Amino acid sequence: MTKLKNKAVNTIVKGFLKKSKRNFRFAMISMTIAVWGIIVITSIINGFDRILVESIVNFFPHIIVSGEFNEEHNDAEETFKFNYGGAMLSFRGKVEFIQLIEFDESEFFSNTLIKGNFDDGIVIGKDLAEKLNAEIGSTIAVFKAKGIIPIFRNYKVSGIFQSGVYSFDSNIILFKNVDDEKEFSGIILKNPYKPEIFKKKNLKGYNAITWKESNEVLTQALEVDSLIAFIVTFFIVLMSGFSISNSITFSILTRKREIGIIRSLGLKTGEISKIFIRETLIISILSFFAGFFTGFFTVKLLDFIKIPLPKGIFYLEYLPVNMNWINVIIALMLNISIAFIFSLITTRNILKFDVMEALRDDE
Amino acid sequence: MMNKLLDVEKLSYSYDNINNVLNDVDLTIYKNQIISLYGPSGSGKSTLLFIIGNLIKNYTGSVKSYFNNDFDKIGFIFQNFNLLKELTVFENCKVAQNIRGLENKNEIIEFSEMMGIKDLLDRYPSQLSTGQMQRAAILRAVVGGTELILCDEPTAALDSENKENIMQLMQKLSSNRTFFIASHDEIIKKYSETSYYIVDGKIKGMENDNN
Repeated sequence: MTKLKNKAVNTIVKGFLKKSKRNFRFAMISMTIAVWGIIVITSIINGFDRILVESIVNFFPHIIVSGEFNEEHNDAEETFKFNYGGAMLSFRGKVEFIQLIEFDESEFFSNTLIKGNFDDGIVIGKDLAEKLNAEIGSTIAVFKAKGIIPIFRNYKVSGIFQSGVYSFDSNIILFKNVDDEKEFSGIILKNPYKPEIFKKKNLKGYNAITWKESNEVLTQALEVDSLIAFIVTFFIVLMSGFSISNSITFSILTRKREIGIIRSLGLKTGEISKIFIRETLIISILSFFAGFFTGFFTVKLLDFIKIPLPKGIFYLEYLPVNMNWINVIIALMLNISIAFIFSLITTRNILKFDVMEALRDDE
Repeated sequence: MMNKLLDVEKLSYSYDNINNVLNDVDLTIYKNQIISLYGPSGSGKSTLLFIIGNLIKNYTGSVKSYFNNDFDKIGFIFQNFNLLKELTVFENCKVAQNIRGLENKNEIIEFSEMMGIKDLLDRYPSQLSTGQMQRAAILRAVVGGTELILCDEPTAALDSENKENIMQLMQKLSSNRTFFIASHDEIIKKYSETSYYIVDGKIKGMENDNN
């Protein structure tokens, strides 16, 4: 198509859009709602995923090395030694099987501390404290095994932590213990989301495990979540594609005469289909942005009003929302592609009609 | 000597492959003339126009053009004007001009002055009278360097005063282009250099001023 013919097509598109908004009203509304839905749904899925991942990386060392690891790397924030193992506790006649983390000097766990300190005793999870009815100052008896020798010791509770993950907060005891020998080294990374890169680069001779490997089921669940988010996005956009297809069919059927006139001016069928494709693309982009802004403000509103979640089912207190820009870009691309494909197929199929009849019909 | 613009030879066409709407039509269109095509309803006048204008294909015989860019330089004028109602008169002309490979605002303004509709360029077709609409349709047909204007009953919707005005305008414009007019209207004969008579898809006669 020549530059001037292209200009003619644009002038017609502009005129059609200005004067025939009603033809695309429903397609526009349905696409806006689709994009709005996509943004809110994927933001909630992302919100759950993000909170879960953040809770893990904020609480567990990003890489655990069996034995000593004293190397310094730019990618690593800090390294500390620790022990990790099963234990049993007893408090006021209640018995619980727990995990005990004993660590050297480290500020890593300080972020999760909500009450007290690490210096005068053990720090227990908020849910464990509620389960036991224990508080700062309570004395808890802990039984652990060293080899085959059982060790019993009374500890004073000096603090309460909250990681955000129920299984951590109800099962783990933290104990700052600089005296005993440690079996493991914990590496805290500057970017905790790609521990496999650090492991591959720097831990070839070590027996090491990343947080992703030790939470394999969870990371797989997150991948399934992303897939679900994509499938939801795809089907919602596909539905709106059908709505667009209907609108174009309606638009062409009600504009047979105009199409005939344009043919008589010298544009060919393929060039005329560009009018409808461009019109559809403009409508879909406008709808996308309408849906995007509606979705964006809904996400901000959900974040602001904090919808409470039932505690027995979800650990989190409030509905987490996190808008992922990659999902927004995917939705935009899908939106444009589907609009393009549907408009191309529809126009190619129904632009074949008797031009002479269309031009001679009286309105 | 008259220059040829278009040759139609042995042209036949059928919508249903059973009955022919046009049967072995032969005619020649010369440059800068008004040529009329008379015949009763259903005689194939409009079909012949649409074939010459490249809007109907699948015909047998040949349509040979002697002007540049083949069919890009053909304009149409219809009985019901067929202006794009979503565009102003100026935009209708601009689109036609662009499709014909030209962009020249002055051409539109000059022709509109000549036709007395310069003040109507910013109006939409719904804001025009029938006479004004037909002038706007002629304006759109002539801009962009068209050499052949195909007219399908261009005066049918007009009163007698407007008919005369429109035909006088076409006569003026025919100094640089050819008007090929399919019509029932006897008034057109008065302005035509050549008149063809068509019945049942066959050319039955021809009158030429030069003969």
